[in-house]
Amino acid sequence: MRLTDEQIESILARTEPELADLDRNDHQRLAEARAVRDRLKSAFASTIAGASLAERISASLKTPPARSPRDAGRRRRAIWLTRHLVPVAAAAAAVFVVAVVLEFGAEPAPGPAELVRIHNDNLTAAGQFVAEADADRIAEHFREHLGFAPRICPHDEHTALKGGCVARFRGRKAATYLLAADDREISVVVTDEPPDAMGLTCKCGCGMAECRCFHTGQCSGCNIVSVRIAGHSYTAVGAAPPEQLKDILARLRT
Amino acid sequence: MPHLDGVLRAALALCGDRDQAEDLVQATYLKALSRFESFRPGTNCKAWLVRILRNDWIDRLRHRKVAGTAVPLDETVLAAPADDDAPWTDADDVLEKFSDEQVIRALQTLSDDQRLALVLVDVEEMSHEDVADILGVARGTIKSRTSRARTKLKTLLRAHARDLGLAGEART
Repeated sequence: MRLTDEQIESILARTEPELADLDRNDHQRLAEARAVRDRLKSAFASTIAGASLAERISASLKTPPARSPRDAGRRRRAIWLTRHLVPVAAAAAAVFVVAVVLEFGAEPAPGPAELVRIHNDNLTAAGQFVAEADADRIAEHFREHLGFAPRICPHDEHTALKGGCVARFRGRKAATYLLAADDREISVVVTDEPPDAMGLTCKCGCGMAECRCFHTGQCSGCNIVSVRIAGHSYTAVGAAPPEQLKDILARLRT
Repeated sequence: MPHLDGVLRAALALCGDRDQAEDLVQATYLKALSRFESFRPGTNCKAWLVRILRNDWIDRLRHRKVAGTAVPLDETVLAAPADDDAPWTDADDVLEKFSDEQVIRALQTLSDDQRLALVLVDVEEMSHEDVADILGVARGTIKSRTSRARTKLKTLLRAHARDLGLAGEART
């Protein structure tokens, strides 16, 4: 059968189920539409409103205060208070900021160390780890807790899913799952932060948030390889050689 | 600020320029506040904001036209090539080789409503019903519009990939 363009749109929007007996031509049309959709999505993934835009809008939303003769005295008092209290308040704020920096201002744990910590938690099934070999169920778990289902490496004779959970990476939620690949255990961590920002480096060295090269790093005896796929960073962590980690991530790209 | 990222992406799809998109978003939120009584609680707030955004964009285009300001044709905008029906088997790999800026720039070759519909459906994952409501057309029109827009974008990027030597000829 030949699907109409409208049917393809409905399948992409998941308002119609994908038929199991699609012919080669329809299968190809769907794959191409998905490829364009995913690339478009990832192209816009880095378009995030900065704090400055939110502040600019907030400032413009504030309407100027209504003025009347009755308010004159109040305004004079406000001006006096502003003139006399602002320097005192500013000094107090400066002391407070210094105190906070001294108390809590230590550098956050470097990205590679955090990734290895997540991998170690997976190995010991610590925290919220869900031991589950069914990729669909793990995907459902992520969808429920994160609002999206990351790509999961397809099961085959060399690779098996062992489980996964929602972890914390630099204070933000991240999906992670553990794979057994040729007797080696490899964690995949899915984050929003680009690999560059996680302290990983690539050969091209462009420093772009959406650079599509494999980024690599090492920490505590683990190799780390990361790559951007569809607006997320997929990072493989484990004692396996970098080539094996790249192979896992390359399979996620397809 | 609710839906700020999504509204900014929709604005960027329309303007193709980050600074202009931010101005448009700011104007959108100001207008939204001034006409908040027109928002019906329980309906889709994001769709309501995007509708205000689109109306403001149309006003700006109209104003430019009336004022006689020439809208410069971006030199880097690609000419639309002829449709190519041959299967594109390595689409995923080739598309990954384009930068985000190139993809967003290519989007600018589509009509305003085509690219807005495509971004709202594909990027913002809004339903066909909501997008139809925003653009004031039937749901079926949104399906055919997004389909045509995606095909046009695909054809354009594919041809551009060939020109840049990013991909080989299609395997048939």
